Amino acid sequence: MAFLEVKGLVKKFGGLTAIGGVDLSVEEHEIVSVIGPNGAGKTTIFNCICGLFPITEGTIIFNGTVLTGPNKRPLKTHEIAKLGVGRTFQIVKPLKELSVLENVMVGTFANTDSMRDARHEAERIIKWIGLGPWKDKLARELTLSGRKRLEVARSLATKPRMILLDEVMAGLNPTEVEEMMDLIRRMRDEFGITAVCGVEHVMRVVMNLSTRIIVLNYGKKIAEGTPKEIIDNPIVISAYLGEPMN
Amino acid sequence: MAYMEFGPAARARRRRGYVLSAIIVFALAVLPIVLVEVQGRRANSTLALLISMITAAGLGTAWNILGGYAGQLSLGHVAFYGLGAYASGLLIEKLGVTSWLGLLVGPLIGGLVALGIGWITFRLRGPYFTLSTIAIAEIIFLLSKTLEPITGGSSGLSWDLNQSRFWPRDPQWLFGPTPGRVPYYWIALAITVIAVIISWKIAHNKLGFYLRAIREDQDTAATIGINNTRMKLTALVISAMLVALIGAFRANFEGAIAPDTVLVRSKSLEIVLFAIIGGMGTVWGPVIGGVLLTLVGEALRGIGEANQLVYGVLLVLVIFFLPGGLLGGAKTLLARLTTRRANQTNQPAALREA
Repeated sequence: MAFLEVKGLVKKFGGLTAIGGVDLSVEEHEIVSVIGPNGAGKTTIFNCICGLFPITEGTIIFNGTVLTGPNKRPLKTHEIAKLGVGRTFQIVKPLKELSVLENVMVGTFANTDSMRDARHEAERIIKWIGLGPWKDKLARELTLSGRKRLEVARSLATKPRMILLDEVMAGLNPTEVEEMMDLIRRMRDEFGITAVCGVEHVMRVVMNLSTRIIVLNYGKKIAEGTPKEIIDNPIVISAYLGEPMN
Repeated sequence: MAYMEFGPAARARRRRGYVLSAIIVFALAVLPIVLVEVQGRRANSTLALLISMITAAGLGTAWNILGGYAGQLSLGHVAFYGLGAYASGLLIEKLGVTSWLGLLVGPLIGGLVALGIGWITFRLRGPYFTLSTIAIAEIIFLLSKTLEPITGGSSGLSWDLNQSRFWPRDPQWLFGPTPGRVPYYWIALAITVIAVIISWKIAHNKLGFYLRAIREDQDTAATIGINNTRMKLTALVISAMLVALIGAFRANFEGAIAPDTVLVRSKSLEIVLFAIIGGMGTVWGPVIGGVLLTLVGEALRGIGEANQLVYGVLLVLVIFFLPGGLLGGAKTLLARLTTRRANQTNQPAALREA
């Protein structure tokens, strides 16, 4: 069984079907991109995986544990987090009135009760992720790029096995995108973290970073494959890219 | 300005803070002895005001643990105050047991009820939680009025003050035959010091970090693995127990309780104001707020209910001009002054002369 297994996922908001039966699986140590135009259901799937939304139908299994499924009490978000599922938010949610260090400490406290350990570990992560000079700044004083990085750092601090990165590149300039891609690769190579990236239109990421791509449109999976396969897939091109990319 | 600063300089500053706090507490502890020496019997009315100020600081501090750190605005904290007061009052009036027991039972009952309330209301977020706290306080208020055989209904309970003294007699070696409020003052001071220490401990520990994370964003907190409900319940129970403890003390001190004094809606608002005006989410803000507002309240005693109006105006002013409360405002002012001085000295000589 795959590391993350989503089977027949349906999510309805009242009469609106946001996700209409999606299957997807992610192997450990993969970097998978979930792409699709605005409203395709990327964020909704992420919210279902980490338990923020109750699902309507289907099963989600992570690392052999059923997170939610028929005839089972769905796990709560914090329980899912404890199993090793981290996430960042599309609309960044740094804890604004806390310093960068304190933001990351909230994460490192997941594995320790000691103030000192939490701080040292947080300082290590902040340095690793390149936020060292901003350690004592308030989170709200950071640039967008800094905030996105901080979100990743805070999630990384909980020692996740898999991280759901929702639009972690959106709004960044090309240099910052490069840095973020490097970060995601290093997270996998150094810490063995599997990454699932929700990406709307930063194509460079999709092409250069992902080992595999899953394409969503209107809450359905319309294609899946390697970057090369996706870029040449006429269904994807018509539904999403609009015209062939060269 | 971060909540906590680390490093050697911050450690040294914190150590100075401990020493300063210890000196202040010591000074407050010997204050009544001086007062009795100077004012004689008249010291009792000064002491009553001081006790009000100290308990107000304690109430603000207790509320702040839930409202300030965790950002869960309770407008019904008087319920716990009243529960503590009634638990303690009933023990004295019906069973005639020692007042000390009330200080133990009051918080226990407050904590248990808080657990039940939190269990139900923490399914609700934001304004819905706040509304439910008002409703619950109202229910308890009405219960105290209707359960007349137990609670004495609207007129409440009263007893001979000698029954609810913590000392069988005041320590005569110190004050002579003057029956006084000094022991009460010490107990009030001890309770508030305990409340502040607990608040400080929480702020500088994992729980404090988790509560602030919850205040900032509950979804984010959950995705980091924080059990929001459990953390909020913990904060509520600690907060409620401290408030109940102060309620229990107050009952012993007054020798009488009634729904309109210990369960009255405006008391809830008062507690909130101590924290908001002083500086929510900080350790010292609610203490400052409690002390100052009690003084303002005392000065406004002549105008009766109209003091609520003054509180209201103060609240609006603070929210508009000092979002961080008095403490936050003072810190900003201090920071501005120090940077201005730094700027002045950094300016080139020519500019300074010009």
